[in-house]
Amino acid sequence: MKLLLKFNLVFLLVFALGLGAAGYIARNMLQKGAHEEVLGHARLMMESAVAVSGYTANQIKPLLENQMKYGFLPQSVPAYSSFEVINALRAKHPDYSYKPAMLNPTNPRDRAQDWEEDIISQFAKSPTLTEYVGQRSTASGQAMYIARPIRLSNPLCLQCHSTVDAAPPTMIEKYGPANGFGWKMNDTLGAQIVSVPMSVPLKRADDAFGVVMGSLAGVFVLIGLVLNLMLWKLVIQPVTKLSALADRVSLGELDAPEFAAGSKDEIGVLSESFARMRKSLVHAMKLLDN
Amino acid sequence: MFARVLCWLMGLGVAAVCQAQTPVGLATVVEGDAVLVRQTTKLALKPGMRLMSGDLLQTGPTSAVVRIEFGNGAIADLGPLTQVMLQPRLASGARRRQAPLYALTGWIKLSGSPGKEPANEALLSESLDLSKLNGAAVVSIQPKASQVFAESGTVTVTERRQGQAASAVHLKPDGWYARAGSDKASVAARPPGAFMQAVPKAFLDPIPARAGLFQGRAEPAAKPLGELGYAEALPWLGAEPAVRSWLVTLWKAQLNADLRAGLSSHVKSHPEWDRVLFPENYPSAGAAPAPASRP
Repeated sequence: MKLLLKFNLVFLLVFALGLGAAGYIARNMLQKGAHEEVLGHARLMMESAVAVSGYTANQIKPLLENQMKYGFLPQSVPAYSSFEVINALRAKHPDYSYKPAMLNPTNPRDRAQDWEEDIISQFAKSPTLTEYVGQRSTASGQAMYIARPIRLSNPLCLQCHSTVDAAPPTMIEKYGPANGFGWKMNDTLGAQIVSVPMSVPLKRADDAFGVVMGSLAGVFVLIGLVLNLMLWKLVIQPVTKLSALADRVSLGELDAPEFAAGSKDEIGVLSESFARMRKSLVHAMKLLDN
Repeated sequence: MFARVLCWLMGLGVAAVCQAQTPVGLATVVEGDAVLVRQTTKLALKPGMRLMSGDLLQTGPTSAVVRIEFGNGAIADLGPLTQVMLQPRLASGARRRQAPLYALTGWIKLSGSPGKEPANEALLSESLDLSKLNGAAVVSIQPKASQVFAESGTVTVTERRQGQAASAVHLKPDGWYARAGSDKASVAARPPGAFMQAVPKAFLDPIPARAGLFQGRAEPAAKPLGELGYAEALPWLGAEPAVRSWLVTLWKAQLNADLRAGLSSHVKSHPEWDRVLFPENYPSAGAAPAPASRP
């Protein structure tokens, strides 16, 4: 087996093992990173919704109070404004969906579905629970979600949601007297839920994995090519020439040309040693002839 | 050119005359076209102009809002196509009807003086008077219907029939009063959607009082827009008798040619002007008779 073949076999083995190990580690890290990144975006989205809700309740609603005497403006409702703002954000992040899921909402659009009710009941059972991350199966595949409880902490909300009599008449005109009343301070009313299909983080991880592995393989191949070229040029080619010269000298061709190594490395030392050995051989042969 | 100079001089003259009077209100917001008629001279209304008793204000169809702020802190916002008179002195039998504002037609939003006792009279009109305003009320006075919405607080609406005060209605917050022509008035806990839709948009948001911004500032120069013509004055000349009598007192010294010609040729419709226009028919001097009929 030739030296180059041996070298390449070992190199390929190391390459395969290294690429496999690096791929395994990278894949895990990238999937975890993509997962965290998606969760981070979801959290940011949810915090934006909370900020918009607070801003609406504390600053926008008082400004619209007079107008509310003429007609109900849903823009004064914190949940409505946060929903609208997040919907606008979804234009650039279409994979994310947001819902302020409520058990007893004024706007029927916000009514919680079965799986959302389960999450809300978990928050109701555990008042210290502030966030819940989970996965669920949907028609379009597996989805991950992050949920945070909506607990009544702002007394301003009771202006519209305590009793029918206390609520603005224009709100009753718009939504009727059946829903969205009887709220109490510190009650768990619902949950803000941001859902993302699992395919999103997985695709992100796969995309990043492809780039990492492609780059790694490219670097390995480049290293292999360079090492092969150097091995050929610096070791195999001079050794082959030296071997051919040794063959000629050993067959009695004592006037064969000198081997010019042209370098001071190990091959150069070997060629100098060979030249000395050849001179000694020529000298010994001359002594025998005499 | 001569006419313009004359008109301008008359405007200055009117302004000079009125400087001697005590202003009853201040125009603090003028969004859109609005005309102030002082005596019989029309002036372009500008923010910062002091308003006198007997001044007429008229907003155009594209006018958003004109605000008048009174000395006691009360505020009147005028919507488009609104005509009002400032602090008229109207006789009603033995007693006088007095209020900061008389509404001929249009949309008016009245806001009471914050932190003060509600004024006895807030607004006069032919079909109703508003009093004891304790908050804000939106009033629509139209030829065929009058409506009042107690936006906040309470207000008392006194119906007027044939120049006389009839029944009074005390509107609660959010309450609505409506009367079409001579029909019986209706009162509801909330106004109907059609009324809410018709309310001028500028009335929906509360604008803070602005009178303080004009304190210590010179009144802007009044830009004369010409003399009040007979056709333009006709809505006022056809108002209820008490207003028409007051206009005689107000205008008789300043009658311009067009107004005099119009009144003279239609004197049967304006009998209260007969003594002013044709004094030769009244050998003994005396007060003008109250108009008995409408034109």
